[in-house]
Amino acid sequence: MKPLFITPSMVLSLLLFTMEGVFCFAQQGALGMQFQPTFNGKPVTFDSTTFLTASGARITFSMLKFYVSGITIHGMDSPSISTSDHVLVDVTEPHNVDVPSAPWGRGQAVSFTIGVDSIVNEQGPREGALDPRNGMYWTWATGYIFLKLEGTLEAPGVARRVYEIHVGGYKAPYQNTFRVTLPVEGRSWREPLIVDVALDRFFDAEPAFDITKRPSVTDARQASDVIDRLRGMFRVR
Amino acid sequence: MHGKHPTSSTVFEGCSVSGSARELALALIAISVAVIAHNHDNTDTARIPQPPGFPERVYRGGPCASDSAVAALGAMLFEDPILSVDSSTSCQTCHQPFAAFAHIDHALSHGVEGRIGRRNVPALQNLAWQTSFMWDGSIANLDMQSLSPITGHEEMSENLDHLLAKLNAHPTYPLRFRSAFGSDTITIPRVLRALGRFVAGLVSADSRYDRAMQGKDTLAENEQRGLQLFRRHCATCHTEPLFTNNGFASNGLQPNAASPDSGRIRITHDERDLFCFKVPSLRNITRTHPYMHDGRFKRLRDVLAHYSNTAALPDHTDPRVRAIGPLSDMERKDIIAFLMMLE
Repeated sequence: MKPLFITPSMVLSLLLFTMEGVFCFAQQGALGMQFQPTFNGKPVTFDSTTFLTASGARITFSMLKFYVSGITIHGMDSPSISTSDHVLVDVTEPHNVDVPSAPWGRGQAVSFTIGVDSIVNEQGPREGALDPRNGMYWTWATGYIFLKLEGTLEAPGVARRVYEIHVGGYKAPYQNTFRVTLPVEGRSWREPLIVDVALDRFFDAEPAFDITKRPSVTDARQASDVIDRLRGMFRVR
Repeated sequence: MHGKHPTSSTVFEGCSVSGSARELALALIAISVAVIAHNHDNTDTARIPQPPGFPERVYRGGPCASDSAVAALGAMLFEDPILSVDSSTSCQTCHQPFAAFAHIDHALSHGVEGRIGRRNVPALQNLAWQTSFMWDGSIANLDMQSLSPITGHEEMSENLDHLLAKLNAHPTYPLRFRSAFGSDTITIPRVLRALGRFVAGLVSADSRYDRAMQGKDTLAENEQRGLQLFRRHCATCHTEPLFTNNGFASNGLQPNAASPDSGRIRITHDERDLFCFKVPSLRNITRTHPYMHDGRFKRLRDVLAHYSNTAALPDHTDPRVRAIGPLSDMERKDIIAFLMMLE
């Protein structure tokens, strides 16, 4: 029988393996995902800072809320999927959305869904994030509002007024839940993942969205026109 | 309740409970049937009936401590004007129990401060078998439905935080919520589920028609002729035994200045849904006048005259309505005689 030699590299491997295990354990609930609103790279302060869109409107932001679910870390042998229910992210409040734990440096991408699918929409009232009291529900049609973006607009020849982008709709052909996938290769997962919500992408992605002409999006059909703009807002810093 | 004894698989249908609670309850049944039999608050005794010939119930309810207490709480909320912004208007203001929970002699719904709605108040019956709600089918779940009238500007116009504050300050509601849901935390989902459970229990299955179908009553000659005519001309949409196919159709009514309503297309944006409205059940129809989505016909004979006047039907009329063809005075009277059996 061959004698068992323990080489320095084996010790290192064992140590790393143990450390990884320790990190995984330490990561439970400790890391998360935070959404931070920006406009052309500058942080957004709600109800105060004014920004200029490509189509020449001066806008402010008063509300950004959306439902996040199905957070998944990809790139391991099998994806690590969050089991938590829908989270209502109110970007005007401090928040930290739990994400599934992933071994050190192993996640390649994170993905999540914005919106509420047809099953949950037709299930009846739910407590917590999905409580209709949160104001994220259309009573006259199509169920939950997935995302609300509101503020004021002003432009040459256009008096200051409120704009409302409300996105919902779970029935064909206006199924407006959408999935966001972001690259996270090489991240340590030992600190929260900061996701930029680049609001300039909503207004200024080609072709530019003239908010003065469409200050109100409030049903599923209108919302289906702006899904790609919304998806494009989410970026990893 | 019909005669068939509930089996263990259907015990919890009116009130789904968690797995462990269910196991515990099943164990209790096994240990002491007598205790269960005398416990009238058990989910077993309070479940919604499944009348013979009816399809499988759609309504499922949700977790609770006592199904009958949830239904009783829902009944209390239903008749309480506390649900409206100025505590003036209850569900029952428009859904009158003696009118099969419709609003007799009112073409359009009424709300707080004398506001008038867009559509006729429907009867509330056999909702546990209904797959969508409102005249345009915009709401998919019965427990979610009451959110629309409670918050609707033309109806109760209430704010949900304000409603919770009023219910929490009420002398008896916290206790009622405790018996129903196991804790006196009042939440909007619990308010909605109580109301949903109450209206889900409004079952119409014991009319003269039902008894005749079960051989417990007989049809007069004109009723028999009416039944045959009904089956030939009406039952494709108003399908027995619910007297609706849960579908939508354009029944040939022209929108007018008083009722510019475009119907289901408003929520689906599908051209095929232009002027389409829910096919309502015809049960208790003699109590639910006026008729149609906008209440434009006061009498059943006006409705029959409309369907009979094929030449006047506009292009958007559903072919099933167009196929009815002219009906003689006698035929119309016979159909009405049959419809009167649905009370």
